[in-house]
Order: sequence, then C-alpha cells, then structure tokens
Amino acid sequence: MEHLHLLIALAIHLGWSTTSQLLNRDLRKMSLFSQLLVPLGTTLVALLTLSLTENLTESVVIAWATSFVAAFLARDALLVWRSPRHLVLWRLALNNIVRRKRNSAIMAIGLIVGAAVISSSLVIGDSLDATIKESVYLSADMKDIAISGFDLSTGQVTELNESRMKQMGVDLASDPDTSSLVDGYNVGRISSLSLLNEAVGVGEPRVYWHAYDAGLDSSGQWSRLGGSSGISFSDIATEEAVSGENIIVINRALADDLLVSQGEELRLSWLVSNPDGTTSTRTERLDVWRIVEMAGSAAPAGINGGCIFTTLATAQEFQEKGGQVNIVIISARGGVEDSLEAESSLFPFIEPILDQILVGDDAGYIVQSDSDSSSISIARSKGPARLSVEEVEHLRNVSATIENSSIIELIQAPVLMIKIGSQNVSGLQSNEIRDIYYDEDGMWYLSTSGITYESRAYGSMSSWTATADGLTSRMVSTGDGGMLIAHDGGVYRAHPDADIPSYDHNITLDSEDIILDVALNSDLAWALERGEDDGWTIWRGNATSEEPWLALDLNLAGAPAEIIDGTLIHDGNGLVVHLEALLSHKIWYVPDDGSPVEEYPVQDVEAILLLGQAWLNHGDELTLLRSGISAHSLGLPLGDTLTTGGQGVLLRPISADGSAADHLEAWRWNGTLFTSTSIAVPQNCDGYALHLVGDNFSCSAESGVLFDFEGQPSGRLPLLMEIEGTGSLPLLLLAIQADDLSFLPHIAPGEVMLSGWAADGLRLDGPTNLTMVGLLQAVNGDFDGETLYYSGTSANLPSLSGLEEVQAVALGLVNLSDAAELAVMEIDERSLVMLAGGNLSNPAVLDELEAQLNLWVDELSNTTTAQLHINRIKHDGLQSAQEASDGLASTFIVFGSFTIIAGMLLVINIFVMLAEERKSEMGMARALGLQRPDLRSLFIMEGSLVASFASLIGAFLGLGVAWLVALAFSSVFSSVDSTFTYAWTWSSVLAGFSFGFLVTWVTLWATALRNSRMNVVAAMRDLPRSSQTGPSWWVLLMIIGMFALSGLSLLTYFTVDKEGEWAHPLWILWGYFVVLSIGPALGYVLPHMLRNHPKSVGWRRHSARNALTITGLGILIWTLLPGWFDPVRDGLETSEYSFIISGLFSVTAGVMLLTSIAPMAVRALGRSAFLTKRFGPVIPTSLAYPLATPFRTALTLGMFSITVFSVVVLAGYSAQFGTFSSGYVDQAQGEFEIVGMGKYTRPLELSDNSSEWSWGEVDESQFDALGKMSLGYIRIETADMDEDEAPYFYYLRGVDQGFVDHGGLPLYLWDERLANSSADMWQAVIENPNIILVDASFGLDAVGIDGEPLYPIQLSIGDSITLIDTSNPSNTRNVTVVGFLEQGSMWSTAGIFTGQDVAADQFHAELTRVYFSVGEDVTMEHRLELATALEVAFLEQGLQVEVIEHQVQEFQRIVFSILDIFQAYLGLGLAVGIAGLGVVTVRSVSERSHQTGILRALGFQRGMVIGGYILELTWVSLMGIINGVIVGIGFHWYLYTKFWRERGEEFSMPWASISLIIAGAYILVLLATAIPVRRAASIQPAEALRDIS
Amino acid sequence: MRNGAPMSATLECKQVWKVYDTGIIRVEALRGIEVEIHAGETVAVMGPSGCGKTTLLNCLSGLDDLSAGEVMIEGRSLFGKGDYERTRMRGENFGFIFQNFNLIPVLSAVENVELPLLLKGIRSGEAREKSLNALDAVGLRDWADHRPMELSGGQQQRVSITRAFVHQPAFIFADEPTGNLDSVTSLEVMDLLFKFNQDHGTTLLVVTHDAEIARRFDRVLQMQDGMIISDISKTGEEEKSLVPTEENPELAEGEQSGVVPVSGDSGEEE
Repeated sequence: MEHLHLLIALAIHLGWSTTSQLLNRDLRKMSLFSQLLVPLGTTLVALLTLSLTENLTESVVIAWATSFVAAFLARDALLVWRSPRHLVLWRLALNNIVRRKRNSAIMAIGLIVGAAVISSSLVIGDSLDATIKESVYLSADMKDIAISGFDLSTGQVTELNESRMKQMGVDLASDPDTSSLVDGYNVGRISSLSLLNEAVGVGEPRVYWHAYDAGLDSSGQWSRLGGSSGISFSDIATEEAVSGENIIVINRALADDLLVSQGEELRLSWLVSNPDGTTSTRTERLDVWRIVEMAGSAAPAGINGGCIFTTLATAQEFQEKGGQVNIVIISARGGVEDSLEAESSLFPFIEPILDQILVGDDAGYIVQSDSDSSSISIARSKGPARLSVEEVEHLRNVSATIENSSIIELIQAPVLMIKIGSQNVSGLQSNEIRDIYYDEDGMWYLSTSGITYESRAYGSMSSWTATADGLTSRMVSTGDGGMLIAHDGGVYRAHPDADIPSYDHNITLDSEDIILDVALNSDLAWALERGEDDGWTIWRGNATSEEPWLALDLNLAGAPAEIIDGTLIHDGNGLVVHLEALLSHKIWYVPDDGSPVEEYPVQDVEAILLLGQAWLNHGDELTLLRSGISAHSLGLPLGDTLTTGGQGVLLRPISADGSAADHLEAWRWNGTLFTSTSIAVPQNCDGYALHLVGDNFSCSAESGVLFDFEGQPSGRLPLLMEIEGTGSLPLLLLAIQADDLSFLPHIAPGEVMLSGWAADGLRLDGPTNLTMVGLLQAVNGDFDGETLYYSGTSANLPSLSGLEEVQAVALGLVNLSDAAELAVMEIDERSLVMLAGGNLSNPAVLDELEAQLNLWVDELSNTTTAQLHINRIKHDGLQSAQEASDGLASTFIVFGSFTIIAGMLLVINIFVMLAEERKSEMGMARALGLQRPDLRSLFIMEGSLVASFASLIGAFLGLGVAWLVALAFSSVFSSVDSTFTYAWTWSSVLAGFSFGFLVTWVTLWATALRNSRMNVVAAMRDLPRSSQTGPSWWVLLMIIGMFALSGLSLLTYFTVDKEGEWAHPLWILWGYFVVLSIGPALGYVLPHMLRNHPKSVGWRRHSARNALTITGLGILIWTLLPGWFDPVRDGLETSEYSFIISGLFSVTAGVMLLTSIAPMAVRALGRSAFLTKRFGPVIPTSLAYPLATPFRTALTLGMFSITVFSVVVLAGYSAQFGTFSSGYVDQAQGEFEIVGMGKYTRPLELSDNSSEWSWGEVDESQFDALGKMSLGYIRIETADMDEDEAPYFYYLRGVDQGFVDHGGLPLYLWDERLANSSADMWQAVIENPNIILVDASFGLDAVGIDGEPLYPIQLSIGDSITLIDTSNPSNTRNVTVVGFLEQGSMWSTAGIFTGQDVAADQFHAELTRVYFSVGEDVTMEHRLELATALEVAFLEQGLQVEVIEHQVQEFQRIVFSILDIFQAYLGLGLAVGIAGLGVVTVRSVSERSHQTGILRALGFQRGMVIGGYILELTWVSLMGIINGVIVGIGFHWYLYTKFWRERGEEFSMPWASISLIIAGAYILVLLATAIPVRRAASIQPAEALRDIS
Repeated sequence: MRNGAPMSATLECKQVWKVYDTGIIRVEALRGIEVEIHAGETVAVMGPSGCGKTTLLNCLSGLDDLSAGEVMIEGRSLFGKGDYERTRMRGENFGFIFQNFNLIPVLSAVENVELPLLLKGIRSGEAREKSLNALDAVGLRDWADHRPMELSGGQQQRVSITRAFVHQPAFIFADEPTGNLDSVTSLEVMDLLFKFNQDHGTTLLVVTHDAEIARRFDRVLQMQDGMIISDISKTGEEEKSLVPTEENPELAEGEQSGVVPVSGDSGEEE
C-alpha cells in the first residue's frame, strides 16, 4: 500500500506517454525499440523524479508537478535522440531560440518573474514556519516532556516528592519500553522571584528561577546553559561546594535588563509559604557567578526572557521546600530538533509509569492509624477535599471484612453563621475578646485582630479590620456612636454610620510606629506611640477633624527613654500617662490647667478609668489615683479585681478562709460608692474584658462574649477560633454515621445538639431553634441556611484520631442529611471515614489494614487525581505555535496568491503574443510539409527549453526576493526583541520551478494546438479564424468542463463539514462554475445553433462579446447576491479561501465586462461629434485594437486588476485597522495611564490606604487617582449551553472604589436604564453584586481563519449567566450582563468585571493590578520613568509596571509594519504587471508598425499616433487598475460589513493612498512604455509600408 | 485650400534623389528626377521591378524623405514644411491606394473609409453618412460593417479606393492598385479610379505594370534605374482628353510653364 502512489504514477505516466506515442503517426515509423524506449524511458524518469522529490518535499502536489516536468523534458530528449524528424525539429527550435534573441529573452524574463513570484511567496511561508519552530526549539531545548501540576483550588503549583520523582527516572531507564527512548531525566523547581541591582537601582519584578538537580543533569543528555561552551548545573554545584556559598547564574537577557556584570551582587527576594498558610518574603544578596549566553538550555522563556539558574538544592533551601520539586523534565532520544519521533513513541508510556509512581499523598489522601483507639481514618486534603461516594463504598466493604470492627463516617460542615431569630450570634472576629463597650445603638468588641460591631436594632454583626498589618490594642468611645482605635498602624476612627465621612479613616500621624493607647476628652484626643527604636511620643489632636496631630513635650520627670508598653487615660481634668519600661513602671498625671505634673512611682499596677475617675488597679486593691483612697473603704469587698469596664468591676472575692472564692461578682461604682449587683456572673467569664452599665452586663469568655441584658442571658461566638499551633479554623458541625452509634445520642433530621462549650458560650438554657448557615452554602449565595432545633447539649465528642484540632471547634452534632446540606455535599460523600474496634485492637491487623489502605489510596492516586499535567513541550509547542502563525502565513498566502496569478497571467500573455506573431511562419512551415504534431513539437520544444532554464533561474531568484522580505520582517521583529529566521525548503523552490514550467507548457501546448490546427493559407496570410463556422471544439469542451466542475463543487460541498472552512468556498464556487458554463452557452453556442433565425447573423457576429458580457454580469450578480436570496450561503462561514475565490472571480468579471461592453461604450463615445472634432479618428482607431484582441487585453487587464485589487483590499484593511486601533489607547487605559501587574499566584499585598504602601523613591502625590483590580478564575455557563459542551473558563476581575471613582475603563455599550454614564455604570456594578460588565469578546461575532468562532460565548445586555467557582463547582452566582467594555481593552484586560467584594469573597480573586493616573499632561518620557521607578519601589511585590499607551503603540507598530511588508510584496506584483505591459507594448509596436505606417500615410500626425498608443495603454492599464480599485473597494466594504461594522466601526478607506496607487501605477505604465511608443511615432510611413509591400 | 476644396495644383519634382545607404550597400533609388504633373492629369508610371516607381510615388506624396531635390506643390515646397504640415497636407489633399490594400485590419470597411474624413475634422455622424454613401457608390454598402479580412481582394481594393477618394483629395497616389486582382476586377477598379478623376478632377498618379491599363492614362512615365526615361503624353487616338487643358503636354522632358487652369468641376466642400 505504501507504494500505491508509485503504481498510480506508473499508470498515469505510462498512459499518457504511450497514448501520445500512438496518436502520432510519424512516431509509429520508429523502430520497435525506440517505440518502446520513449514511453518507458519517460515513465522511468518521471518515477525517479517523483520518489526523489518526495524525499525533498512534503507536498505531494509539488512532487507530482516536478515529475511531470521531468517527464516532458525526458520525452522530448528521447524523441530527439531516437527520431530523426525530431532531431530536425530540435535544430529548428534551437535556431529559433538563438536567432530570435529578443523573443527568447522576453519569454525567459516573463518566466523568471513568474517562477520567482511563486517560490518567493512559498519561501516566506517557510521562513515563518522556521521562525516559530526556532522559538519553540530555543525555549524547549532538550526538554520534550514536562510533568507539573497546578491546584486550581489553591492557585498553587503542585509540589511533588523529590525521591519518588527521581524513582520515576530510574523506572523509565529500566523499563524496556522506554529505556531506549529516553536520554535525559531531571527534576527541579521552577518559581519566580524579584531581582534588584542595588548598585544602579534597576530591578526586574518577575524573573523565572530554574533549578535542577545537578546529578541528574550531568548523567543525562542535557544541553549546557549557554550552549556547548556553557556550564552545567553540576558545575554550579561544584563551585558551591568549593566556595561554600550559594551562587546564581543568570542569562544574557537578564544581565542586560539589570545592567549587571559577572561577579556583581544582586538582591533576590521571593515568597515562602509558612506552615500556617501565610506567606512571607525572603531576601538574599548573592553574587552572579556566571552570565550565560541565550543558547543551550539558558533561554527557557524565549529570546528575551531573563532567567536565573541555581542548583535544585539551593532552591529547596531558599524556598524552604526540602525534598520537594515542582517539575519533572524528560528528554526523548535525539537532539533538540530530532527528538519528536522518539517523543511520540515515549509519550504513551509516561502516564502509566507516572500513575505507578504516584502515591496517596500526591493526591491528598491521608491514611492515619491510631493504636490507642484501635482506629484508622481516611480523608482527603487536596482537590474536592472529600471522599467520593465510590471511595466511601469501598471503605464500607473493607470494614465488613474486619471482624467486629465498626465504621464511622463523618461529615464536617463548616459554619459561617448561627442565628437565633434574626440575631446573628456568631460574628465575632475572634474568640479572644480584650475589650467590650456598648451604648444604646450597639456593642463593640475588641480583639487583637480587629473590632466587631453589633447593631442592636438589626441584630447584625460587622467586622472592622485595620487596613494596615498589625494588632488592635485599645478603643475609646468618642461619645457620638463612634470609636477611636489604637492600632499598630496608627489611630483609626470607626463609626457604624458610613455617612459620616470622617470615620473609618486613618488619622495621619507623622509616624509609622506603633500606637499603644488613645485617650479622649470630648474632642481632644491623645495617643501614645512607641517608636521602632523603643522611643516614645505622645501626640495630641482633634478626634473629629482632619487637622494634623502634634507631638507633645510633657516634661515627664524621670520618664524612661524606651518603653515596652503604656496607657493613657483622661479623667476630665488631666491626662494620666502610664509608661512601662523593662524594669520600671511610672505614672504621671498631667493636669489640663497647666498645674505641675504629678508623678506616681508604682509597680505592677495599671491605671484604669471608672466613671471618669482615674484609679490604680493593684490586683488585690483598687485606689483612686490622686487621693490614694482605697476602694475597700468605699464599699468594694476584698478580692482580685480582674477587670473593669463601664461602671463595673469584675471581682473574684476572697472567701472567709482567705482563699479566692470560686465564683465571680460584679460590683458597680456610682461615683462615690461601690454597690453590689444582682447579676449572676457567669463563671466562665475569663476576666479579660467587662462592661457594666446599670444592670446590663457583659464579659469576655473563652467562647466569645457572654451577656446578661435586662435579665436575659445570651452569648456570642466567633467566626473563627484560634487553635494553638494550627491557626484559625471555622466552627464545624459534625454528622456521624456509625455501625454502632451507642456512644452518640441519636440526632434526628432537623435537630442539632451543641457541644458544651458552644451551649455555654451562647448561654442556651432550653430547647430553641437555631439557624445555621454553612460556609459552603454561603459561598454559593445561600444565606438562609438550615433552621435546626436545638435539643440539648451533647457529651464531648468521641476522640477521633486525626481530628484532635476539630474537637475544639466542633460546634455540635447534626444529622447526616443536614450536614450534607450545610456542606453542599452529595448525600454519600464523606469528609472522613474511620474504621475502628474489633480486630483492629490487634496491632498486626491494624498495621496490615493501614498498609492495605495505603496501597488502595496509592492506586487511587494517578495523574488526574493528583492534578498533574503531562506537557508535551515540543510536540504541543510546535503545534500551537503553528496554529498561531498560520494566521500570518495564510494571510500571506492569500495575498501572495494574487501576485502569483499576476505572474502567471504575464507568462500566458507573453506566450499568446509570441504565438500570434509566429502564426504565419507556422503556416509556411505547414505548407512546406511539416505535420501538425511536428509543429506542436517544434513550438513546445522551443518553449520547454527556455522554460526549463528560466523557471529554474526564477525559482532561485525567488529565494533572493524572499530574503529581502525576510530582512524587512527581521527589522519588525527585532523591535520587539524577537527574531525572524530566513529559511527555505526544496518544496518552495521546486514549486516555483515546476509550476512556472507547467504553466508555460500548458500555455504553449494550447496555443500550439490552436495554431497547428489552422488553415495553412489563413495562417500564412494572418487571417482571423472564421467565427461563422460554429463554436469551436474547445469552447464546447470548456463549457462541458465548467459544468462538470460545478457538479463536482456541489458534490464536494455536500460531503464537507458545513461549519468548516471549505463549505462556503465550495458553495460559491459551484455558482461561479454554473455561470461559467451557462454564460458561454447562451452567448456563444446558442446563436450558432439558431443559424436559421433571421437575427442570428448579428448574434453570431458578437457572440464572443455577448458571452463575455453575460458571464461577467452573471459572476457579479452571484458575488453580490444578498443573503436573503441565497439562504444557504447566509448560513455558512467565510474563510480565506472564500476570500481568494470571490476576489478572483469578481476581478475576472470586471475584466470580462471591460473587454466586452466597455470598449464599445467608449468607442461610441469616442465617435461623438465633440471628440472626433477634437481628436479625429484617434479614439475609435486606438480602441479598435484592444477590442480586436480581447483575450490578450483581458490578460493584461487581469494582471493589473488582480494586483491592484489585492493592494487596495490590504490598504483598506490597514486603514480600517488604523481607525479602529486609534481608539485603543483610550479604550485600554480610560483615565489611567500606568498599570502595575502582579500575578494570581503572587498577589499584591497592598492595603486600602495607599499612603501605607512602600512608595520608595516615588512621590505618591503625583498620582491623581489609584484603582485596584483583582483577578480570579471562573467557569461560565449560559442558559443555552449544552450539557456536553466544553467548559468555558474565564477571568473574573473585581474592581475597587478607587478604580470606579476615576471612571473605570470606557464602556462600549451599557444598559442605559441603569446608568447615564459609563462611570455610573461601574459604580452600579460595584454596588450590586448581581450585575456584571464583560469584555468586548462577548459581543464580537468574529470568526477565526479556521472558520471556528473566535469567541464561543456571545452575550447581550440583559443576558443572565452563571459564574462558577473552578475549585468548587457548587459555588455559583447568577449575574446579569449590563454592559460591554470597549474592544481596545480586551487584549490587555479580558474578563468579566464585578465589584472587588464579590470577586474576592466568593471567587477568591486576588489583587493583581493597580492602575495609576498621572494626568494627561505628563509626557510619555516621564511616564516611562515613573513606571521604572514604580517597579523598583514595589519590587518586593513583584509588580510589573507598564505605560499603557506605550504598550498599545508597540502592538500597533508591529501590525502596521507587517501590513506594510505585505503591501510592499504586493507592489511587486504590480511591478510585474507594469513591466509586462512594457514588454507587451514593445511587441505590439513592432507588430503594428505597418499599420502605423498606413495611418501615417492617411494623415495621422505623430502626436496622433502617440495619443492613440497612450489611449490604448491607458485603456488596458488604467481600466485594469480601476477595475481592481472598484472591486477592491467593494470587497473591502464587504469585509467591513462582515467584520467591522458590528463592532461599531466607521468605514474607512485610504482614498489618498488609493489615488496614489492609481496615479503611480499609471505613471509607471507610461514610463515603462514611453520608449516603444516614441519609436512608433517616429516610424517613416514609407519604411513601414515597405515592410510588407 | 484650407477651406477643404480640392487643391488643383501642379506637382513639381525638381532633381529628386533618393539614396538608401545602409553603410554596406548604397542604392540610388531615384536619380535626379525632374517631372511636373498638372492638376487633373492622369499619369501612369511604368517600368521594370526595382526601377524606383514606388519610391517615386512615396517621395512625391511625402511618405518618404528625399535625399536631395525638391517637390513643389503649387510652387510651395512639400518637404520644407516639416512633418506636421506634410502629414496634414497628405491627410487633406492626398489619397493612397496600395497593391495590398493596406486597410486597418481591426476597423470595419466603413470605419476604414471614414478615417480621412475624421482626420479632416468632419463630425462623426456626417463622416459615417458620407462614407456609407461612398461605399454605396462602389457597391459595398452591405459590406460596410465587415472587417477587411472578411472581404475579397476586389472588395478590399474598392474599400481602399473609397477611402482614398472619400475626402475628395486633389491627388490620388496608387501603387499597383490592380496588382493583386484578376483582370475583371482590375478593370472594375480602374473604371472606378477614372470615374473619380472624371467626376472630381482628381489628379491620378498610378504605378502599374499593365500596358493595357497604362494606355488609358493621359500620360505615361517610363522609368529605369531611378530615372524617367520617357514621358509620353496621350496622342489624339484617344477619344478625348479627360481634363480640359489649354495645351497638351507633348514631351517627357517637356518644360511646362504657366498655370494649369483649374478644372471647372471643383466640388464645393464645406
């Protein structure tokens, strides 16, 4: 089967050569040997050529074409050798070539140009291919396969176990299937870091850090960093071992960016993750050991990607990831460019081997046994973090096999909120409450992490956290419902009423140090600040105004220089300052009236305020500060004062026996005396905070806050509990199913049984309804939760191994069904399964079961469950790069094909002309006895000889032309730090050669056939063929052929994919072929058939012209047919082939009409009285020539039309793109000029208060606005999406108020019912979580070059879509589209836009962007400087800063440059046309010199002769040009309506350039033909007439 | 003459030399020709092949440059005027008939015929009408729209003659007009020529090999080796002189002086 095509080739070549042999009577006279030799020899040469060229080129078409060329040449050669008659012909042909030098030269030039155009177009395609391949090879180097993972739920790269991954390398090397296919294996870490060259102040915010194992690097076939003379990872390791220091190697691109040289120091900073899930930044200063060139494996991010390289050990040490790697790379056998075959064989084995290697841990399975409780538990931490239904089922089966054991299945449902009635009782920020305050509006609870405010009216709880990092220390009521807060980051004012503008603001102190306490006396406030160096300052300012605060010098005698803590209180008359140094405490009283400062040396006391009076709390005694009177003398019993608050004191009294009592008491101070209260103080008050006013009491407790309000006990729980050593955990409700539930109370559906601590914390004293809102429910937008009946308190939960930390946060027990609801789980999914008891008490059984379960989870762990991806770097890279470059290449081929066609037309034109000229000579030769086949042979031999040389030269010349184009591309590419590679393939050269030759050969053959069939006398006398005898055979053949083609197109249309790229072209092609068969049949054949009709004479006379007119009009009508008339076409997608086909046919139609009716019209006009009076017979005479030779005229017209058409379409596209993209800048930036970008995996850590950012050298005040944008990943579903449709992942972007306040990004369209302006619409979006804005891609019905829609989801305003959390598909939100962004922002900021809150809270979006506005009058230079400065300032954050306008311009410049190159290349086609016309004119002048003589004899002046020629040339060139322009404009309009109009673009056409194209081309035509035309005019009539007579 | 009336003038040839010098060969095609042709005369030029008949015709009609000498029309130099004037004079006052007809192949018969009219500046409609009438007169009305290739030799020559006469030139130069025609057709063509001469007084200068035809002319110039060796005027055996002249020239070298009276039948044109 492999050689089937050779068999077909054998049949075809043998077939045609034998047939032509048999058809030629003369050849039958040759010897039998010769008769056999010729066809066999021909076939042999053809087959040899075919197999040879198949090795040189991948294209079957080109190989076949070349084999035909070889066959034709071989047959001629064999005939010349074996047939004496052909020898004679050969000599004649050779003579003709040599003697008619000028003709031969013209023919050769035409062919050279044609072949050069073909091969250069293809070579440019080759170069594009090579360029992309090179970039893939450069970055992939020896790497063929990479294994890595990315956990969508955490946004983190998957960590892999180093030793297991190394084992995989060993397995690959030992497995017989793979050992011969792998020549390199390594494991490593790829991460990113920021680099700063402190010496010059240049930084790179995000640089890739590649680290690989030194040992594996040297044992595999890996390239060295920097190429063969570079270094390897083991070299780095050796150097580290020698120097004892960590070193880094960087590549040339990075060295250039950072202006750093070898041996110089760089500051590196990167993020490390802490055990508690937080991250922190680490910084090191390291010397650059080597700078390597961008070769070998040193350019993994492409030519302009800076990278640093270290050993794996160094990276693991620095990143605190010992024993962990995040990438595995495999090199398939072979070098950089020849490993694909081995890779393809190797790839299928990788996943099975990897699956074997992966263990339960890799997929997040946790199997934990506990011999104490004889139990073993199984859970999963990664992926969905739950055990699936099947996994649970398996474990049940396992349990059944262990004697007497029981299975316990657990669901953990994290709880967001507990409500009693409408009162939220679980909203505290923390369970560690350090201060409580309340007034009639609400309650304030202070914890170190922030403040919770509970509104009494609404029962809602809201949290306030300082924007800056740090702890919240104290709060003091401002008396107006607000609070003044001392925080590590400064003094804050908070107020529940957002309408009070001065609240919730950071009061700007001229300090960055820690605020320890604040005090207040009406509006006047003081703050105690501790400096970094432990110095301290007391500030005074106005609590309600924005005036800056002042540092006070209080002259506190003996005050310590450095303090560790302190307190400020104000008793209405003076300020109490309590400073605590390492070894001393001291209290001062600073009277407001300026009296002398009083000093109180004290130890271990604290200053407190009760009802405006300052007290000292000694622990066992309370004394008034200034008088020293003891509280005991004022009615307070003896005991420990635990805390005070409001009017109250929390006291643990001393029993009669002198020991501390086991109960607490609350005492009230009324200003003069302490009185006891009737409040039953809960014994679990922890003594940290108390607030007592009247009979209302509250205290802090371990579970949160306890209340006794007007006799009603209640309590508050926190959202998260601090668990020692673990961090914060949400409260959990548990549901347990077990074989034996005897140890647990039975929980019915709808019932909840709380843990003791929770019931105490809420002070529930009887059954009640609790509404529980699950965290995952809330994430899904369900805040209603489940209302459960609290039936009582459960005993402590059973100790579940592996769940120790859970015990502390376990809120209580619920039924499985309720837990599943709250946790949004399938009914049979479980958080954890535990097997316990029975035989498991036998350690051997337990161990065996553990081993068995470990094996099981190892089996469950595979590439998919471990969320790993096997990336075929080169294979996929080449494929996707190919797809990406196909766009450019196919555009080039589309436009190049027009130039190729122009070249072909030139060749045909020249041949037809030369053949016409030789007509009489051939007639003569026939008269002398040459047979028709002889004549053809002579003509073809002559042409073949010229064609073979000329095509070969042209094909190679094309390499040069392409090289020039490649030079132009190189300069464009280098401006974006990229390269363009010039490359050529034999395919392209062979295509240029063989197609050039074959077009010539076919043309020669057709003209020779036509001429050889002529009547000898007619030929000799140069008489025209009679049109009276009926349609010639070839016209009929053509009509039949066209009809057949139309049928073929239609048949093919029915077989192709209707959504593919061929359906539309085939459909329109069908129509064109129908027109091409009907037009000539009606116009040409029919009149001849109606010979008897009285009018048929006239019809027959003009039959050719009529046929052209009918066909031309038919084609135009078919092209312009409106969609409603042709619904089939309307439903199909156009592709680049549609473009070529309809472009060519439209141009052809124009040419047909111009050659048929237009000259008549113009001739009639030329005969008008006015014109004849002025120009005499010049116009009709000169136009008579193109009219008399319609075929040649059409060729020339077509040549011009096609090239001008393509130039105009491209110019139109350029202009359209220009207008379109001119708005890009504004669309991409709005009112912001600079954007700083972080990464999702490395979010920016910037507080809401920009003054807290580390601005470094940058002056923040030069920005008039800042906007923040966060990024998340979501899946989108629309109502009309099919179930089986591929999921559509997209970006979710959350914007903040600052971004919106500055106008956001411009909107193209928005729901005007919702907002009057684009800025208002943005405001509405951040206020309403259920409406979104989307980027322009959702409104673009664009189709890619492959005919597939570019953007699969199309939306309209008012459409509803569902946003789905990628890590938890049950977390969704239904939103309504209310507007579209402008298209210009699509490339830089694609996404679905919502408010920051929804994005961050529901879909874990991370802050990744900051927009900076500097105002329009800041120069570009300054903006660029600012961007650089910002990068350095925010280097630690990895902020990459760009000036948006600059970026857009860069992008535009590339597009325009590429379009310019296209246009220049098309200009080449136009030049071909013009040169061709020059050649044709030279010929026609000499051809027509006799006729010129007659005209001159009749009285034509020289000027009239010149005028006539110019008119004729103008006709063919200008009409051709104008035809091209008109069809081009029409086509551009068509493209505009199809692709641009719906984007709201105005139609734009570069009229000036088009006028220039018309004028320029026309002037060049006149210049190119000036010499022959002048020569025509100088012809002496007598000489010219003598030529013939 | 600018008003378009046929010029009735003497064509005078003074010491006309025409030498072809290719650098290798030097051919003296005309060697000091002296001849005077009067208005309305019919002159036949005879002689063996290569004697310079066609060259003489070309030089007299201004189609070819002279090597030496002068051609005077109405006492004015034809060659002194430059190409533009010479071409204009050709277009308005001369008509040409060639042995191989020399019709423009891409134009139809009537388009060929109307060329001289259009050159004269006559409006196209009028030119077309006159041309059709002229073709009618030669019996080719029905063939008016045919291209030359579609016509027989005789028809083509009749078109050619019509084209030569249609603008009523003063002179007709015909180079073996019947050379490619059979005897019957030749006769018809010659009749046509003489009819025009009779009707319009057009001067005819015709190169011919045919002695029979030559006999019909007023005057026969015999050439040899680039010179006129005899110039025989018509004797009394002819019925009558076609053009009334005061005296009939008798001798080939006859020095004719005085003004040739204008033919009485000069059609008014525009």
